[in-house]
Amino acid sequence: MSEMKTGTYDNQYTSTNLYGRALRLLSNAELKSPSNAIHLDIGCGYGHIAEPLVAALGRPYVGLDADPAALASLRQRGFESHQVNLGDRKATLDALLSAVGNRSVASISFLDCLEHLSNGNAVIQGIGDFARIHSAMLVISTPNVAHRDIIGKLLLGRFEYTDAGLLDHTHLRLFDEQHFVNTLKQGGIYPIEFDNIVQPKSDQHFPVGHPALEPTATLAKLVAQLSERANNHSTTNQFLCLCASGQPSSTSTYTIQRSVQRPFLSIVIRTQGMRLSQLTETLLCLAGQSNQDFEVLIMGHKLSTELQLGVEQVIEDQDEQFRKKITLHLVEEGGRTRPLNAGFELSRGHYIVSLDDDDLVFSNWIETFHSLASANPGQAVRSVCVRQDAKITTISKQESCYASGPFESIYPSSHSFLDQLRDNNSPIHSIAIPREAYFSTGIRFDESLTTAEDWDFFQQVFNYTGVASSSEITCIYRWWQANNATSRDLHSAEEWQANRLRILAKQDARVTLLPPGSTKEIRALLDIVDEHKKFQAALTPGNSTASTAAVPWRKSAIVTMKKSLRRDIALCRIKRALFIFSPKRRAKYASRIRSFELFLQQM
Amino acid sequence: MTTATPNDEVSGRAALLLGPVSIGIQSIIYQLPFESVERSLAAVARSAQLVQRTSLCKSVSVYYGDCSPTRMISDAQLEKLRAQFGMHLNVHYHFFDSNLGSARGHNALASSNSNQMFVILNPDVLMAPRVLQILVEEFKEPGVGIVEAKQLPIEHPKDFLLTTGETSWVSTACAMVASSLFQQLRGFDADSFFLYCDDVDFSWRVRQAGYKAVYQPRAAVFHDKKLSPQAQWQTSSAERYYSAEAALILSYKWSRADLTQQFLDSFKASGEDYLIKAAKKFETMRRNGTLPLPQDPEHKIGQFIAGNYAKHRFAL
Repeated sequence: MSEMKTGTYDNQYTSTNLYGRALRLLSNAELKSPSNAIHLDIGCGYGHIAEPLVAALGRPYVGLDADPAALASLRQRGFESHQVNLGDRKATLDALLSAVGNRSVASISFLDCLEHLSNGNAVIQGIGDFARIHSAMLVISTPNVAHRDIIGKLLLGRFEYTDAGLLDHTHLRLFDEQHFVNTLKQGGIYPIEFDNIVQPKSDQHFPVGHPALEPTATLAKLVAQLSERANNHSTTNQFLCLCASGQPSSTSTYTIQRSVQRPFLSIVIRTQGMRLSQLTETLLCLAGQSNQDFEVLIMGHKLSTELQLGVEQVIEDQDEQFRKKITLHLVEEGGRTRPLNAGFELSRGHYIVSLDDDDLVFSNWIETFHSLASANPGQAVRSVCVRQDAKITTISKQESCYASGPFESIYPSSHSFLDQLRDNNSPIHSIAIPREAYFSTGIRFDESLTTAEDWDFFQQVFNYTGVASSSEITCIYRWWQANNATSRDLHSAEEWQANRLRILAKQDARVTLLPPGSTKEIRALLDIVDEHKKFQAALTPGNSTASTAAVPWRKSAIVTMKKSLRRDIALCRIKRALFIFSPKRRAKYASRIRSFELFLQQM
Repeated sequence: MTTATPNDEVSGRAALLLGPVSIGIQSIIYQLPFESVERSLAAVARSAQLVQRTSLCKSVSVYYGDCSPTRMISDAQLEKLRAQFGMHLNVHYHFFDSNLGSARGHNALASSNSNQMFVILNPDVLMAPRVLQILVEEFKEPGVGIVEAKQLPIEHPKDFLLTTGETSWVSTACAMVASSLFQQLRGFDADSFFLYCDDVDFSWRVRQAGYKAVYQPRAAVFHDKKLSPQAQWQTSSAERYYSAEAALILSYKWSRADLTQQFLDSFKASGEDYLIKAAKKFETMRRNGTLPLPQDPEHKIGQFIAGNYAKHRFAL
């Protein structure tokens, strides 16, 4: 405080700026001190809050600062002020006690000062001690270094101090929300209400035309997209909070432990308690894993007491060592997606995967994820799932389930980012994501979706992580036949379609990052679309050149295709390109498509 | 599906209705790491603990027969197993010092297994916790001779009656049978079968004696098998050879000499070493007069359908 430049912080009071909001917080707080108890403004500067505060709270105002010019201004306006230099914890407490004497203190403000102090922790501790003695409420503020304007510029290697503002050159310490709150807590100051100053365009929003700042630029959209989910305070300019005093927390203000001991995998199993024999089988497959470095979170969703007891019995039945890996969590609200978010939130593993309570996995399920994750840290990992039909029967008066069909390879053996844009090719248990893809990005399962929530979720995750995939078959998706319904059967075709359209709309609204190699694939697809257009034009009835044009076109197509594509790849891509047409349009051109396919087969 | 009248005394039903029974579990080890045995036994112990809490079972014992060239379980490891799981089961270990094969190994173990119900179990299989209870409960039904647990994640595709679980044969990856029936049938046909199809043959003899072979999918065990990238069941070279050898002997024993000849012809013409070797082995047995006596001439028991020993629900 002693180093501040005179006049630099002569900020005026308005009802909507930091001072106005701070005063509103204090006005709304129930201050239990006697009416003559004072308000102490620490680091008051020119104290422009003094007049409105006295008017609003009816309490005496006392300003403390190191800047003689600022204090002189206060004195000229008839307010009590003291010059103080805040030192260590005891010196701070002593200075405050000395300034106040035997008067009571109702409230304290400490606005935009903390960041200027080299000994901020000690000063906060001293203020905390003082506030505790007086049971005083506090309003405290500091600028937010995690504003997206700063992040956007830093992304391109620019970090610019300015004369004042978010990156005031006199700031000695920078705060995001967590660091700010932890700093307060270690001094025994606990935020109870925030009223942050939000500014989508901060004083750091320069220079003009910066691609990470200008809202219409793609990079800025990406920064905004990431920030909005991952960072609740991407547009917060200053944190401002009303606080109460308490015992200091032992939590460190900075990170001491860079890594935490965790199991490799958290397995989230949601259950409604209706398929206990299948749940037993799912757990049996986990007991059989070659890699046992995992935890199991069973998310009981809206379980009746009877069903809860059933699930608990299944868990209790397990061998003790295995049982130690399992925890049951009850989720009483929300749709089918809620238990996923709740389970992921509780996960401790480096990676997280969801496994339905009727799914089966091979012994290499976790081992394969682990191998992929070790070689590709930070990427989502995918192995291959096969489908198998299953049924329920009753033998000896007890329900049993059994496989009723062969293994079907209906899911691709490798991940394709482009294919994933159009449809979900990976059942939920064939993909594990790094925990930070959940916790750091803020991506969540969309609880408003009643189907395909995993597709929507994975699309967003893959956008940032990419996918490392293995062709190993590691899991089985059981498709229940007859009355044993799964989500495929519980929802109408219209509902599936409506959700699909919503997911596609969300997809179109966001910036999509394509992994390396994607543009080549897109070019190939566009080439095929062009070829198809030529073919369509050549076969259009009424086109006078159709019959003659088709022959040379076919000849050139043969040359082109033979040079660039093997026949089966060409067929596959043609089908993919044709898929972009609506079903109605596909039906209209069905005969032409068929003839084109036959033509390709003859190449 | 049976040809004779079942006897409750022999099937184990009578003993079960009188009170809790003793269960003896048999496993043949061949070069299986101790850790696998230990993991499997932990699952068995839990299942044993749970079944002994019911009125169905009074004791569980486990009998390991080691056919490996050297002991896979040392004395110290055996003591460790007994210390870990002794509260719920008795652990016995026999080092045969010879590779007896599955059938002969089990017959040898059975001679010291004095329990009322036998479980034939692969030593690397993991039982779900209630498997022993579910299997033994099945014997309350009249006429049940042998009951098989469901293997996961690759379930066997053989067909079964949806109401009773009756099937052509049961796999002894995990199956329960009364000791009395096992003894009456003189166990597995170890002279004919070394490694595979001993269970098919045994099941058919169970049915020939008038008892049901039952598949109970509610009793699940984890048997570590994997699929190829083409979603096909992956088999080892040993599995392929012994299966081929067993197919010849089984078809001969169950009076399908026509099939035996077809197999022989196709094996010889295949160019595959293991098939040619299997054909030679069979012909040697025929020359030496060591083939089993053909039975079931009217084909009431044995089923040979599309290369399988039962109708299958699906192809694997």
